[in-house]
Amino acid sequence: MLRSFNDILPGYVFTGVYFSDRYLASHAREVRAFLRGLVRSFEFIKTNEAAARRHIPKYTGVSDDVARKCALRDLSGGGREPFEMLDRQRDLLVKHGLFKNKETLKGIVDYQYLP
Amino acid sequence: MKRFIGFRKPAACALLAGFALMLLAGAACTRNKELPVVRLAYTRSIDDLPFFVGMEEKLFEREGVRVEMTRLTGNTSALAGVMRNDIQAAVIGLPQVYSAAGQSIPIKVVAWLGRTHPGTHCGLHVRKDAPIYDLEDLRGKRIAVSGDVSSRMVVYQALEQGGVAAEDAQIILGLEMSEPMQHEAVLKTGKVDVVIA
Repeated sequence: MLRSFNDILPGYVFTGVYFSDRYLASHAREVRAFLRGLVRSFEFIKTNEAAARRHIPKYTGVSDDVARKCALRDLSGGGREPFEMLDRQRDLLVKHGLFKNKETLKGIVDYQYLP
Repeated sequence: MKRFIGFRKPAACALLAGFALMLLAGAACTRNKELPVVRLAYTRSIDDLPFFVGMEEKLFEREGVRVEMTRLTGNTSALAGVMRNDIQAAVIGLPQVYSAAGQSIPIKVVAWLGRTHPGTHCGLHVRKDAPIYDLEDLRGKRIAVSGDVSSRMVVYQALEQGGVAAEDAQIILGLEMSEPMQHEAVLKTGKVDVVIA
């Protein structure tokens, strides 16, 4: 490997999970339960990495060998990432012409349902 | 007579025990079916590992919700499914979140699925025998990038850090490299010098 993603963009956040506003308004309890389970998954991956990796092939189709070696994410944030860091990524997208406007995430990211 | 009663007693106990077990199993199934269901679209990416673990280790059920996972490719399909409530949750990339924010799409990202870290193996990969030792050596090289915005940004940022203008490298889009083994295969063909994986 010439350079890792982290060398080039330290602490880069790739993906999040979302619900519709309508569903959140009427199913907050389910969303909270889902996120409690998700955070437990984060903890499981951190403390039982080998066991967690064994679940990869079933859902992705990769071999056991690839599953043992592939990069996992840093889950220490527990689902939360600072807005300042996310906005730095946005600024890079704008700088490289991949995004036009400096939108804010304040109205579309909501951590209140996390435990 | 005593011997006859003695023979029936263990058999009766076994029957009762079996019946009790069936009742318990039935109760567990009923409880499971009574849990509210959250249908989640996933993409087979490593970022989805927390969902796989949650399913296999029954962590969602322990918290009171049953998750059903459906594989969907494409943000548009997933978003349409969420808006119709065919699925309740989906995964979205950070650039697409900013795009959704700009269009006032009525969704909320409720959690992020982790970040890169110093030990990550994701990055720019070259063949072992290639004369590419540092980012400045990317000048004039053919760099295969999947279509997603994040990968393209990593390339542009890497070029900048190497002091190489984007137009001084050949960025090749459109190569399908959704599977890890394809990255190595693409490098071996010799048609590209660098892959982002």
